[in-house]
Amino acid sequence: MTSISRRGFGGLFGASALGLAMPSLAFGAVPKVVVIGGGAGGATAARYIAKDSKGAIDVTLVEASKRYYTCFFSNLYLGGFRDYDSIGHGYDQLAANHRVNVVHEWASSVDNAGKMVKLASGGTLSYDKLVLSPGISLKYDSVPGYSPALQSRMPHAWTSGTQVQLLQNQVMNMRKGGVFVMVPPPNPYRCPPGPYERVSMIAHLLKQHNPTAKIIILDPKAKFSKQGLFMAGWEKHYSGMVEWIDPETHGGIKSINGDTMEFVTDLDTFKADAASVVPAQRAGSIAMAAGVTDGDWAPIIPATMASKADPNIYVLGDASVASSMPKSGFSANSQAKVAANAIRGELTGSRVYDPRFANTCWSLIATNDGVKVGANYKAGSEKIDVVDKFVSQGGESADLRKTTYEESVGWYNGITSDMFS
Amino acid sequence: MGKVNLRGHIVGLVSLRALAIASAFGVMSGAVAQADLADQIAKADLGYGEYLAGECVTCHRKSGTGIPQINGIEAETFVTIMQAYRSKDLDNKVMQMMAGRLDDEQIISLAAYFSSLPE
Repeated sequence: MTSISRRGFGGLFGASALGLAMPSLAFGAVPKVVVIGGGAGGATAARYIAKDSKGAIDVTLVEASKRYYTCFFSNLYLGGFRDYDSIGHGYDQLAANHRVNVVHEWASSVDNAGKMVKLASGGTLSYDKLVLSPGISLKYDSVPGYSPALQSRMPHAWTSGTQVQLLQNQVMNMRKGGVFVMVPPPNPYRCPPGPYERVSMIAHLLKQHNPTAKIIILDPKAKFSKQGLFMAGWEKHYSGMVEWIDPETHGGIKSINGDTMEFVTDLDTFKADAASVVPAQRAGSIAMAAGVTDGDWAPIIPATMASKADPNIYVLGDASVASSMPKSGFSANSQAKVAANAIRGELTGSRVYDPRFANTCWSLIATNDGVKVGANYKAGSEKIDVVDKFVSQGGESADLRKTTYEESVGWYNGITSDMFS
Repeated sequence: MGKVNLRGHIVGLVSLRALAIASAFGVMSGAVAQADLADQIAKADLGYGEYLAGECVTCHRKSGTGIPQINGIEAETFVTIMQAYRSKDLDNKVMQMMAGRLDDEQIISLAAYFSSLPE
């Protein structure tokens, strides 16, 4: 262990911020930040910018939903480990505690040159800095035959909310000994372990209510997050129930028939009693409308999360190209704090500290059998680089797995408090 | 360990604390080392601590279940625990990783910040 330095702290950090001018701001005006999207990235960014600027920045959060149901832990609702209400959160404390102006509307477009957001209702919001944290849009046609109309029969349930309730209802109403088909998305997508935790939670439900049922996973990927841990867990807890079929074996999904619930592949035609289809993804549509995407996602400058296309726009979370970080709520929350620090520095001249990023993804395989994978990161010149990482190991004790699950519950309480309190 | 509930997974804290302080301060006696640590905590940069704490509060909150709450923690206890995670004497993969890239100044800034908060 190194010895503790006796150096003073003054001037060690953020010296670059001290000399920054405050371009484009009229002297004396309170600068405006508009944040679009009230999830892990946007709610955190709005909260931190408002909280830490103490009134020096006017913060408006645009989020269509009055109540936000988190994607993270929606699988635990599916498995019966959480009440639906417990994954829902409101924005009232952001307004009451931090003076965030919360606007429950859809943002429809961005006037980059005029620094103005247009709302679907016809109103406008001007900004000095704009934060986009819109999450994902689904590319329905990435799975041949899938469509918005079919999401009632084969819920994607990938943006939380009522889709997850629908999916749970359909699993519970499968015929005895029926077949559930899970179609995970191709990379890159929101929540890499999510499809496999979903399979675990559905297996948990079926083991109790329909133990002769089967789950078939038609995966477009040859490997997946925490694969060894999930597959060992399925064998341990749900032996014979879960079958994962890789793309080389099934040859790809050629078509889906929503009426007959059939999945046609080279290997076979699979007839489902219930199913979840999670298609490929891209950045939420406002990121496309704002012109900050290159292909499906928005490239960013790692040190600040500023868009590479527009220096007044910052893109957080799933919509951004933040590799090596995964698309997760934890990642978005971490990126939001980096962006908030940079934005405050630009607008008010506050000290800008070294950017730091972290992520951990917990997954529940069965009651008290939690696993986790995580890393911390630093801003490289081209991408966000891994500093250190870890993953749960096979053969861990039941006590450790239980502690890991309990830790995930603590994290849920922590991050939702960090977003909404 | 007083007012902060750090639950059963932190064991042998007294000896770890002695170990951490001793290793942090090399050959100095415990009493001198503690006085020096207290002095550094008193001089620490609270603003930097608050910024760094952004990484902690994603998981640690005021009323902790599953993850201990650390608001109002005694600063020297915080330093000891974080150094023990960094040296992997305490066993939690997330905490070993998070503490692993904090240098002593950063740990002291965090200690000063969290100890300044009400429980």
